[in-house]
Amino acid sequence: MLTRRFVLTAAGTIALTPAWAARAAEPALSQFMSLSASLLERPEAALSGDMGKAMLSSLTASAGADRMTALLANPASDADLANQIISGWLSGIVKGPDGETVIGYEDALMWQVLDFAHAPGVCGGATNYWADAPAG
Amino acid sequence: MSADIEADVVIVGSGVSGALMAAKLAEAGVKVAILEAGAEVDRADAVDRYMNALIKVPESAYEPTPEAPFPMSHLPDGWYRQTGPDKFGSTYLKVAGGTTWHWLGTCLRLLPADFELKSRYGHGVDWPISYKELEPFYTAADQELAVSGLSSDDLGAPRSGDFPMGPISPSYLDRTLGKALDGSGMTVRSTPQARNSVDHEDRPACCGNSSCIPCCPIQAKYDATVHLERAKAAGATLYTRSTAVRLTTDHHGRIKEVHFTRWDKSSGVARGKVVIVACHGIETPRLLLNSASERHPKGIANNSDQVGRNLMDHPCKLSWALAKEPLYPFRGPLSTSGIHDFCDGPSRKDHGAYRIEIGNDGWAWPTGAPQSMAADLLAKGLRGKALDAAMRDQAMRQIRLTSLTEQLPDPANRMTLHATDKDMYGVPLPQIAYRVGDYVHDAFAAAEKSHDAILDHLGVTERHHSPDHFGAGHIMGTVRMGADAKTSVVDKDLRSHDHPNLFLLGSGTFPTGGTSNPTLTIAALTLRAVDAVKATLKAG
Repeated sequence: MLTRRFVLTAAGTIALTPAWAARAAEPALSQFMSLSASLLERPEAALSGDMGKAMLSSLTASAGADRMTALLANPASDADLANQIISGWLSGIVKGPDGETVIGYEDALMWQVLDFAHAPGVCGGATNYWADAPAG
Repeated sequence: MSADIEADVVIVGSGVSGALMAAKLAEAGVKVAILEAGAEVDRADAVDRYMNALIKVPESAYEPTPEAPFPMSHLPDGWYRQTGPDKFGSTYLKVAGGTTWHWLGTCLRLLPADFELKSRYGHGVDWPISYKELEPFYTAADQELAVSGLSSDDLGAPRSGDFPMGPISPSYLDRTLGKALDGSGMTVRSTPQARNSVDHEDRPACCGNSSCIPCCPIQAKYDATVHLERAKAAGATLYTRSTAVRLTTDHHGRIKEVHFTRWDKSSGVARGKVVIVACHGIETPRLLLNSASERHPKGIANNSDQVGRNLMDHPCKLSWALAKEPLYPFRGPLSTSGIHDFCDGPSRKDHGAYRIEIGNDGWAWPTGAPQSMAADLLAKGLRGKALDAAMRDQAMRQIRLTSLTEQLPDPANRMTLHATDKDMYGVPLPQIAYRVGDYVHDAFAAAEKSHDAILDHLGVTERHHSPDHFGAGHIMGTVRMGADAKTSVVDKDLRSHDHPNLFLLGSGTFPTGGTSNPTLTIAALTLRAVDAVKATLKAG
């Protein structure tokens, strides 16, 4: 087993559909993905739907549904929340109702940005590849 | 009354020293029982747990439970009861295979001078054993732990044998720094490490997962489960989820029984002709102190009153910077090279020696990069492609230097039993009094100058120095060895001065700490003690 895909589990700090999510009136995921793509200056197709769903739930719960709905209506209205979304996509960590929570690991976009590196725990290449500068 | 477990040798603890001793004895036909407080680790689960963890510390891949609790790096007061003045920052695991699950893998020998700190520099104590006496066992330990290294560079510790494998290549970052230091008087040296540079003994070569701490997903890095498996294959029995809580003696002063409690709270008794305690630098003295009785009011093996004292670490000074040119960190093993020019010399009369470890993990240790970078760059007003570009540009230029410093043994730096707080077995929690001390603080000042000089040669656009000390994870000194039974706990064979059939293994036995990561010395001392254990068995 060389690599193991990150699996969202219900254990510990991660929950895909936590109990509180059902109570909050969550804005549409499609709108959130579209806003995310615009904030990140990336095509929407390049974003993970699972991660987007987990982030929307967490941020709606921590920031409040009203704030999230307002941001989706006017992306320039709330720079702080917009930054939380950008940071969440890049780092894989966002603020949830009980503090920070992991919403993605290998899928965090920083590992695409750091195209010379890879997420720890994932095989990086042939032995001693690190001795040379990355190709390209 | 018959015991639950009867063996020739009972070993408490299944980390590198306990597992190595168990394998050597079992392979020689000795009946061995191993008691381990923790459970076995599923490697894939450990990697998943680490990936899912919000806080990435060495313990993130493992699960402390009420049945097998252990300290966590980010919660210095969670398990230890600290009385200060400084926080003790080093930790250990309670799992089968012990703390080697999350060790870095660095396999340095102590230097000949490290064994003679008192006679050469007037500090601490000399070891009761010389480098020369231990050397053959270092060479054997290189083979046992399967160390990859550059045999032509002894790093100041003369060798009688080659490493079993050639070196793990220094990183591009190491090589770039090495070129920058040409002619500076400082040299970047390849680090010997128990990490396969080629496929070796059923374990694969390293493929640069860059998660040595907390867990190598493919076991290219040695961990003590290697020797646990060897011990079991040779007939040793491993009892996991069994916490030793008390040792008892007979009227001759020999250790008679090991009392233990299982996770289901049932209790048991193990008996052996020889008892070996190998629970690392905190749990070994904790068990000895908790075994106090009318016959041994200060605890087992503690006529010297040194059990729990002289607690040492290699307190760390971190510096981190942005180089002018790309270094491409976040690739390969977490460290592949170091700078050894300050590991010995006359300055040890004035301050501690230090070894500079070169990190391949960017600013992960001091700042939590790269996870922390997005928020920092957003705060500067960057968005979109400009943010991506800045993140990439900065991450590829990150460098971290860590000086691991030499700390003197101080009897006041001490692990004792807490007066009231206990674990679920009724054993008092470890209370720690710890002061970093001037010898280290003066070493920090010298190390900061060295870091600055190195960064000046490299060329950097930004630099930072840690104001506080960090723990190295190296717990030493708490059951020190020595020739004099009045001032030490074990002799140079690691046998208790007070109990002829009791041996204590691990870095707790180190009289002084030098600057070398302790595991290879733990292994060498353990291998050296094997004959003494066998002779004790023969004598009956």
